[in-house]
Amino acid sequence: MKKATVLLALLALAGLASAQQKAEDVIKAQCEKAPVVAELWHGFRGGAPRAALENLAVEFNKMNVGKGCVRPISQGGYRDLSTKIKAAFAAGNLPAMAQAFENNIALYLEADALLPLDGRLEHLGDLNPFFVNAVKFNGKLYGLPFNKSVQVLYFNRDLLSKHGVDVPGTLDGFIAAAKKISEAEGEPVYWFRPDTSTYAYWFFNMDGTYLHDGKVVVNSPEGVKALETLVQGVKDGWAKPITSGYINQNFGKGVYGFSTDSSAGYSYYLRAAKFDLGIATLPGTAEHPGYGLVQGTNLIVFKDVDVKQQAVAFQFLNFVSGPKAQALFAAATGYVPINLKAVDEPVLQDHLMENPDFQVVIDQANYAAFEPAIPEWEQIRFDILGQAITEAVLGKATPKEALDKAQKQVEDLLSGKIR
Amino acid sequence: MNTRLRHLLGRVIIYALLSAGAVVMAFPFYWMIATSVKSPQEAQQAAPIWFPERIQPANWRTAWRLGAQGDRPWWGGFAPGRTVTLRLRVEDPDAGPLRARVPKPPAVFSDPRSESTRIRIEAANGGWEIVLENTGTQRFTTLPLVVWIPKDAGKFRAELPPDAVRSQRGFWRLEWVNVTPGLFGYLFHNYREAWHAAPFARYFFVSFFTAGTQVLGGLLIATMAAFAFARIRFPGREAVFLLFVATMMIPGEVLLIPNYILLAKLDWLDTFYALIVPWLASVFGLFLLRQFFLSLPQDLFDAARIDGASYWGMLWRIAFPLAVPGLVTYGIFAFLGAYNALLWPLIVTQSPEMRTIQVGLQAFIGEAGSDYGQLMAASTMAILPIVLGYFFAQRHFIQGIARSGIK
Repeated sequence: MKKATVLLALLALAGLASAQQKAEDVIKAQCEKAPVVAELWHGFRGGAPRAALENLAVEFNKMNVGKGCVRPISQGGYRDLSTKIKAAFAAGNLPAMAQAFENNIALYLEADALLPLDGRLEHLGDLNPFFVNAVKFNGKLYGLPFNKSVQVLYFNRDLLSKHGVDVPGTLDGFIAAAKKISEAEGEPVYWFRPDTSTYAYWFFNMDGTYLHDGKVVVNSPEGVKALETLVQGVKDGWAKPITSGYINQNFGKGVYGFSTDSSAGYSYYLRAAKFDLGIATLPGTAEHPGYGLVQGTNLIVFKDVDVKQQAVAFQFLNFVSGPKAQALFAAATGYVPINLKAVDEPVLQDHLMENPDFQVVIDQANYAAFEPAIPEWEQIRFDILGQAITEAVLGKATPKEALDKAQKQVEDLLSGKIR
Repeated sequence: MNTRLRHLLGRVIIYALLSAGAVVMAFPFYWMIATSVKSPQEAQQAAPIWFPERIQPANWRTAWRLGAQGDRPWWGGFAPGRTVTLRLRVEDPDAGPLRARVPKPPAVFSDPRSESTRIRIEAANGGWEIVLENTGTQRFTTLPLVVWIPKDAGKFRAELPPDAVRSQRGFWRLEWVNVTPGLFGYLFHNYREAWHAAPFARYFFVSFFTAGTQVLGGLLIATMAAFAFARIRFPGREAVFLLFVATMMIPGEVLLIPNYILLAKLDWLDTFYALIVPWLASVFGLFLLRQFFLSLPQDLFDAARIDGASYWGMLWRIAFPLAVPGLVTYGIFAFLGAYNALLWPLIVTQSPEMRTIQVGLQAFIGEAGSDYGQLMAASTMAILPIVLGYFFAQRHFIQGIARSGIK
């Protein structure tokens, strides 16, 4: 008996030990021989995005043998990444490149830590102009949009055909469709996470804007109306707040009909869904689709870094923003291809043949909305506005009260009264 | 008779309660292990799946056969020249043919596996045979497959249960992560993938070395300091001690950036020094051991002094042996703290060679979802040494935790 166990354990180990070569190891070997190593600190913990980025780095390094090499280093999640960059800035050992949200860029610019990218990007003319605009500060370009996701409408195609409902195109049509199916099924079918992202969809498509003459306003009439719509939806039984985990982790508990969620979750939605999962551009107006919140980071280049490393960094930026690399990256991860020419690439064409739904993500990227790029936004988004939305949806405060309180906190934060 | 019955009844109730408690305590472990052998779709279902497909012996036979066809019956694989046949039964084979494809890994410029696999689909009695042939010269560890079955074909049953089934317009889309698994390759798929997803052997070494050194070094420093505070009189002793204890009130996060800068100035980043040295002096250990030394009778030390012992002698020959339970308590806490640390190793290290097991577990957490099967497989691997350690040192563990009065 004991012998058998030992034998089994040994067999198991032998099987585990026969490894394939990992991208990480290939990069390490490539960089040992390279005269210049440019580090890229990123916030991909794992999964397809990290694998795709590492595979791209391997290709880049192959093309640049003897000249330079790029080494991606995972620093945990995005929040861990920005903590580490702050620490590294103070200690003076910054990498050549890093991922950064727009509000991170605003913060790093306060310390004058970044190099403008103007005039150094080959493919600038082909890049999605909305995304490029979002990384311009004082007329200068400080980031290369990289892994960008956009909100889309996810829906249960099987459920819609069962009730003879078409995919809604307008905001009113969306509410009507959700109401109709919810009444027939006897439970709410629009699932949402009560957070700033879901709220942003309703807010932006009710003509809301956060910045009024450069001042952050979270309790505008449009804001109150957007939050009231969600709260009313819960009361009327067509909207269901999901408070634990991602929406796709709750499949199987009740009837799922719609959600307005980031395209970055597409592969996880697909994986969890047994029903026919569809995606569509967001419901908006009769003329055009709704605006979707853009999330995801940009690649930045730091100023106080060796010029040789910066040169490699710029080469890498040109490589990853090229049509072929973007087509591969988009097909692998589900992020929006930031290079508009990527759709003509065979790789992306093949991917679209297999996954026709991906065209939706590309179309939705033309109706992109951004949150304010100010250094404090991260804190406002999670700790102030996000809190207010959750409170209102869970019925702890009325939408107006919750947003007024949030506005007060935002003003205190921006004037330095609280931290 | 009556008393015996009552006694028996009491026993039954006690055992029932204890068993219920044991089940409740063991449940998370069962869940972790069960999830570690689930396919991605199984792992993501909200309705719990108690017995995943991969632990059902009926499927093992097929896994064994497919593995043997591909290369090896235990661990599978897909060797050059080999042909693998996967059978699929459908209710109505006339509904139209299947489609099958070998999917490509993310963002590769070329993929030898899908390019050198020839797929033929043949009608067989009551269904279809998918014949996969390796026409290349390379051996592959796994062979993923996607198959589309027209919905009109009615009910279907694949010889090896697919890892995911989805509705896609007029088709059912079936996905296998590996159709040449072999028995172990099937059962331990997530373990193998997880093990290869990151250099776990190195992570284990770093974690154990870091935690072990922290415990030994920490014990040495804490013992000497605690003895001084407990048994040696010197001016300002209470004040200095108070100052030390006060540092316990500063949250670790606040010290993160200053500590990082200090380490950067010392050029210690991404080395074992950064992982170990800042945690060697533990105020918790100091406090715990000081209380321990204070509880020892003064007479012992007086007697030692009369016999001519120095402070050094009193520490190592009298206080130290008597304080073993306290040392074990501190050792366990220090070890678990170091082994479970995440943020600190993440911040002060760069290279995969210097990262710990807890940082490694992050590889399975995505931006918009997690790979629970692999995450749980890796968690099982990470927790195994601690569980084994617990079996060997059970007595100390229980006493240690009970003694410190905190969890």
